[in-house]
Amino acid sequence: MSQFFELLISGLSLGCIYALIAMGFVVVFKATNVVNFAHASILMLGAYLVARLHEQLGFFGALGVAILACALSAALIDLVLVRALRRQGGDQDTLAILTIGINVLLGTELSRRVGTDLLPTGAPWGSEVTHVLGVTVPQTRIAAAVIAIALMVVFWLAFTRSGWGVAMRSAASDPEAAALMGIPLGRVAYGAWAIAGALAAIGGAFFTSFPAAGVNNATGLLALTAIPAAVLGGLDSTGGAVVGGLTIGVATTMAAGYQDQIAFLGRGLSEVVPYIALLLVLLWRPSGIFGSREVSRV
Amino acid sequence: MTRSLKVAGIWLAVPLVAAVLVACGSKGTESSSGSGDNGDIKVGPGVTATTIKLGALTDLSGVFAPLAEPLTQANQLYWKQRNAEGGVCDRKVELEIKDHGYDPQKAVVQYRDFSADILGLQQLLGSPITAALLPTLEDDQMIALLSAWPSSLLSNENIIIVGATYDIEMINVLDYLKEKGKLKSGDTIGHLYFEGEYGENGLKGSKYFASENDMKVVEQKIKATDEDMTGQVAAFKRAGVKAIAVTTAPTQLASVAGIAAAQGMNVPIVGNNPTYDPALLKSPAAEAVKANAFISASIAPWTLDKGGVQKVSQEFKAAYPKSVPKASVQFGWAQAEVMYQILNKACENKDLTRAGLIKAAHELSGIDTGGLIAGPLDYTQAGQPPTRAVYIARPADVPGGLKALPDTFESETAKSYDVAG
Amino acid sequence: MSDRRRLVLRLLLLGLVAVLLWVPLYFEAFWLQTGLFAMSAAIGAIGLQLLVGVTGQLSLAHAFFLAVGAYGYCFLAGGDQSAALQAPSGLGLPTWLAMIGAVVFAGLLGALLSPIAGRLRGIYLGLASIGLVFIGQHILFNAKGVTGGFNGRDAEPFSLFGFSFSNSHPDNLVILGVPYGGLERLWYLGLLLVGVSWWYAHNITRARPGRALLTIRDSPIAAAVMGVNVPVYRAAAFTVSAMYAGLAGVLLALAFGRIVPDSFGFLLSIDFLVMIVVGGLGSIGGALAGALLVSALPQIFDHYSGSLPLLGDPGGGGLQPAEAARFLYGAAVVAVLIFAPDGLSGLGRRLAGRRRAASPLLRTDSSKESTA
Repeated sequence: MSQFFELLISGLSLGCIYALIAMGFVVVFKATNVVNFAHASILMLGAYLVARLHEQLGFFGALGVAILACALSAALIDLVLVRALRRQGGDQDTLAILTIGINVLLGTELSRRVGTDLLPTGAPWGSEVTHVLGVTVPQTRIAAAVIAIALMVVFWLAFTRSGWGVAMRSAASDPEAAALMGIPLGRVAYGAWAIAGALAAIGGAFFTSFPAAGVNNATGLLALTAIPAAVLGGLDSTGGAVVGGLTIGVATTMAAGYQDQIAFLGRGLSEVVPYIALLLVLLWRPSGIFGSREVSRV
Repeated sequence: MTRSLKVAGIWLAVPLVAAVLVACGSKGTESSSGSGDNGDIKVGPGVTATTIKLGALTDLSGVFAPLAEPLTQANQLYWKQRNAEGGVCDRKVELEIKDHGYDPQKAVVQYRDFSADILGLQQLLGSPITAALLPTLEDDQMIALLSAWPSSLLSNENIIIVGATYDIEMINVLDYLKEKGKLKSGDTIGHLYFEGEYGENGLKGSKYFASENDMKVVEQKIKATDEDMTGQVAAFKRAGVKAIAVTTAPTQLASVAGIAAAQGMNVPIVGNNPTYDPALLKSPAAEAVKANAFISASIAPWTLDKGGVQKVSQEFKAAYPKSVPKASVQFGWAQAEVMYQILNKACENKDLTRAGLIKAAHELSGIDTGGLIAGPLDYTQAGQPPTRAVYIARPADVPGGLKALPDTFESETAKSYDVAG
Repeated sequence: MSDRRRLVLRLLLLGLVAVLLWVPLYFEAFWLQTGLFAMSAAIGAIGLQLLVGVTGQLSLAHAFFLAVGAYGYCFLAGGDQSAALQAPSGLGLPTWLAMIGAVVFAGLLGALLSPIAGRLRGIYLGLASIGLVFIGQHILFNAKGVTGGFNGRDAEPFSLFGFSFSNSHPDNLVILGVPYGGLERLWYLGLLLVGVSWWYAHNITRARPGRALLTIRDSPIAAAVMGVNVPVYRAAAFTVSAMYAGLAGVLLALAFGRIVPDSFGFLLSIDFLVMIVVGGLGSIGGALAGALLVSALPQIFDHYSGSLPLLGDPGGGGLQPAEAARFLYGAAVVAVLIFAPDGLSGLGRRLAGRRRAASPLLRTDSSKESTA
């Protein structure tokens, strides 16, 4: 089995996790035009809850609780904080900074609670592996892939076919007109945030399962590595988030697998590679692969 | 315009005036807090007739908090007991602890904050922090006991390393594998290591071992934030490695062990002392870790069957019942013991100044830590590690998560290895 | 403005300057060190403000240019071979030349990279610019010969006409009974640099270039229609901002004494962004205030929290000062933005009695680009 193919499959499996995380990022941006840095700590909240509760409630029970909690927290952030800032005239940059502040608050509290522990998530697939086309892939990753693809399909259908999806797209592209048409902007907004929260919980649970060792106090920081994935695919495209996630996963794994061959570029490129990939893609398509171009009207 | 500048003035003037009132006492008079003579002993900053003040600059809230917190608690517990027994040099030792959260800028400010009031650093943790502070520590002649074991700092007189260095740990454990027949001439070793002082030092050890034994090393450098080792293990598998060396944090060890086992690579995995944490026994990779990992450390595991070690384990458990047992406790205690020996010697020399401490430290040899650190410690050889012996431990379901034989291991290669090479 | 007001103003300013000059006579090393870091942050924040607040180009690459300035200075001024065999190389230039060189080098890189900035828009530019920081750090860790790798490198103490801003040359300088060591001397250098930076930025924003930049921020199309060469101005803003970051980096290197790559990460860029938003997007004075808040507040809090028991019993819920400081940072950001979205400068104006932002520098709703 060629090394390239092995790395490709492994990279795709990692990419599915990034895709899950990036999707949540994109949903918020698509609906409310906010770059949500707090996504990272909501993710950590989800992972933390799963890690703490899986012994009493089982993995899926704990995941259910995590999804609810994260959806609620995210919706609250929108209702209480984001809206307050918008009312005062906050623009995109200011809102992004607000989410940074929230991220620091939530992240610090979660780090405190995790403390010095390393908490496994108790995913039912444990360290089981299957062989995909001759390559060993952890079963948790297969589950993540299945879920990611399912979600992508669901979102695509929702955005294009359902009333809610259309409402969200119109609210994002022209809030004034949408409001005039009777679209409840508020509900659309916190609905999107709640969904993003749920996605964060799912993404977090998989992110910290095998082959990762568990939730530790640095989990929140790690989640930020999904930002290139979200941007690369286009910040307002959920399909783009999946493509972006997969691309970043493959690029990272390849960089690690071929480290010897590219050693002249310096070692340890795996943190840089997502951003190099991002820069290259953006130079080619400035709004991300599937992102909608900004139209300026005078 | 007037108003806004007035407001700007108020913004700046009020806090400044307030700060002025707070920062009482003129700076001009260099208050020699203990400098000069004290009885017939020369004393330096932080020393009074009844107390000696030491500092600890560590990470209690960042990436190394899991190791540093029990370590620091062990420091504190040691001195609490010592002080109860009368302290050292007829003085009680006070420990001032600062948490830099692994931020060099913060560490520099915190150091400036208390450096004038302390005689020495009981604990200094973090390689970027140490790197940033090195020139200042030298200027201040501040002795610093490192919570790290890089061989590159052995030549710095004021830096005291308590134990064997990372490269020696690595050489020893690879030699152990060779003795057990798991490694033969011509084999390839995969080495996964962190960017930075720690990783590079471990790599130096494995490379030296390989060069002495006609073996090859395949390197994979990663950052502390990389937690998924799929690509790296794939590269190792491709290269057909017969053993994987790990100079990282516990999360990466777990990832490597789990992935390697999943890929059917049942090779031994050897790690330096910071790569292990008992929490790994609850992770999905627990079985793989127990089956394949060998941890090389000059620090005794919690359950080591030696008098000094058992005593420390019990006392710590009594003082901090909710704390998870791990080897950083043994280390923290030993680190404090070494400081005690240094202070004692300095007292004998009647020189409790900063320079006096450094001089006293390098007069010490044959320090017996009751088994907490492998081998007696010898600081008299400039530029040499104080010991070249380690304990080879295996992960097991015991308190502290590691089991080892009471005998230390010191290979010939490790003995003849030139740290400055 | 009446003559009386002008006089009060002048006196207030004079008083402020006097207090600042007098600080090293009274305050200890902790305050001086914190102050120096805050000064470096202030210079960097002003630069970022010119790019983000005034020209409307979001950039998270600031940490990269700070690294360029810091390492550039160390390389240009260093190269002392007396240290270990693996000491990084340098050119050994006089330090004033090294300082200028580092700033110019940062500006050159900024100019080189500005076409990328020109091609990308808005949030995409911001997020892509993070990549520069990671690439920069990667180079810092790997190009050992120049950067010293993970061990970092020493910063040559700054000297002018034989007077060194360190503990020697002259040794034992005593002014009014207070020994003036490196930190004390650097304080004045820092003040000078901050003053020059502020004055230059203030002048830019009040004159034609500033108005051109503001128009570009509020409506690039209107600017182009009015004859402003938008790409050139954008590139210029990027370059100037990079030069400010370079200067901030030089001061940072001098303040540290020895720089390590870990200091120039992504979080530093975020810090600067927080500084200018909390200070008020568009306001130069706000950038200064924001820099002070973000840079100095956590250190000061940590300093005074020494009275709290640091290590309670495990599980006893003892809040570590570092955690408390982070809570404060996050809470400050959220609070300032919710209650004063035009930042500290807007807050200041409102406290002074002004109903709305008087300066055209600050953004208001009507100036946001609309696509309706």
